Amino acid sequence: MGYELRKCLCNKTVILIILIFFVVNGLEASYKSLYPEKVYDTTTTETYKKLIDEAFENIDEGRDVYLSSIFIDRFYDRQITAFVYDEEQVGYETEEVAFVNYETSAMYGLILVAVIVIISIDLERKTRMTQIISVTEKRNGRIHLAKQLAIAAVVVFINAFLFIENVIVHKLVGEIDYGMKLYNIPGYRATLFNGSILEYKIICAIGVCVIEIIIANIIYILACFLKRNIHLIIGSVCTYVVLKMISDNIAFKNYPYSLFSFFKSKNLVKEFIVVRIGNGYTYYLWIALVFLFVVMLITNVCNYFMNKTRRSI
Amino acid sequence: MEENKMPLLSVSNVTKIYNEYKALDDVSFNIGAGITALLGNNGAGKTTLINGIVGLIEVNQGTFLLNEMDNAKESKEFRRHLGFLPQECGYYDEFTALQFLRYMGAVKNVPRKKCDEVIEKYMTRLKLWEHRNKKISKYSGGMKHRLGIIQAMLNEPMLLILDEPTTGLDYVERGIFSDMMREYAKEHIVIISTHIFSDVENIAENVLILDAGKLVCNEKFEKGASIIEKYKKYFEG
Repeated sequence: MGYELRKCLCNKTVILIILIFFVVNGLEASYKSLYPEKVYDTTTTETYKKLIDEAFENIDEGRDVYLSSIFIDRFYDRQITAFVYDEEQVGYETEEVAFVNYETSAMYGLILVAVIVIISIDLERKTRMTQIISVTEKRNGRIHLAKQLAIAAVVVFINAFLFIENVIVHKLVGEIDYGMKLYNIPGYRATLFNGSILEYKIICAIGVCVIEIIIANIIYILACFLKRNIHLIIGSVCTYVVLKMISDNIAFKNYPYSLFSFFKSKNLVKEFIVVRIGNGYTYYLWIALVFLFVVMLITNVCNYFMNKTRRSI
Repeated sequence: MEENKMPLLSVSNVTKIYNEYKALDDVSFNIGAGITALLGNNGAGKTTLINGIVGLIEVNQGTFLLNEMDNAKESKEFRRHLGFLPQECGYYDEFTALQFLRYMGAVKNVPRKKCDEVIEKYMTRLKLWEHRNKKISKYSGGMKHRLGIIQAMLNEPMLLILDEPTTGLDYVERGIFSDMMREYAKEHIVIISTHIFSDVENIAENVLILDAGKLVCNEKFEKGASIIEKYKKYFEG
């Protein structure tokens, strides 16, 4: 497993991507307040609703939008209310699930792992190691096992690092009191959990980590079946998007960043614009992934037909 | 040809067809411990035969038995006793030579302690020990090739198959390689496929020559004789 880890991580591209993710994660953490209580002190839920409505109106009328990006991010991260635009429904998110929601909204770790899986499999092919490995006693069996363990280790490592980064940034920028009991937060008053904010955050992070390990390994298993790199990339992106959508929609019925809700929405364009104004980095990643997928798909289909034409000539 | 020594590789009635082209046509032979030179012109079927023995391809007909272990039925057991250096061996350039060999040892299920002993023995022999902590990306072609030979020998296999093992080796390194193979082949089967006849003339005990997929020569070879003189007729066409 150690060797597989080294193969995954001793790669300039991977190191660069990891650095980029850490910077993005730090930036995002620095402008997002983690807990609603700070906001509740100064602004009511109705005010938020009003602000969001104004934003939509302004967009409709082609005016500039002055809404604070932080408001919209908080709104769309569902830290503030369970607002459903179409039904004009306002309510508090009182369940612990809202907290997990926040954790999963930044599943950067998984995107990173998907990239590492692609690079790692590509490395095996480029180096022609597959030939000498396939004549060993256990063929690729040992490697697959080691790789899957390595992927799990990478997920844990990346999540731990992002988690620590988040905690530090929130502590410094958001001045969060992590020692405070969870039920002290207005949104979590009904909770049965008796621990502190930090304890709850750790539990959530572990849960998210387990989900990510499962998803990452599914991506790896599927990726092993794909022969060409282009298929590998498309397959990984596709698997990631589908599994993320499923997990989001199972756990969070009104998850605002999920593609499922996004496409279901009647206000598709409007929501996109609001979120874009809201600097939703997570959403940018979603859009980037979908864009990548579409480009790859088109390229692949074009290549297929071009090859077919050449063969027929 | 010596057949009474253990171990024994038996190849029986092997035929491989690619799109109606017979790459191997009813090839049969038995070889025991010692060095066997596998020769033939390009396209004669050498690589197909090697790929069949190591299990990289499935043949249409025939069997490969290593001490009665069938590579189709007992493939795992067969591969445990197999060492293979392909013509173009793969490496992880970011690894050091030592890391790469330890990695290959782990893949081959060789216990770490034994693996380290074997690595030191062969790296010293092939003059790579002092470069063991150097990244493979910094290795020359010849050094990489020597590393490939060592990875094939890590599990001290009963059957060692080397495809063009001397490519990129200088005169001195070829001498060292020949001595090492001579010693190793006392108790193991070594098959060397090569175009450089001079490399095997002094060490080969048996010669197998393939021509258009058929085994046209299978005989004991007198060390030191000239292959090109003796088997000229097989290489003219």
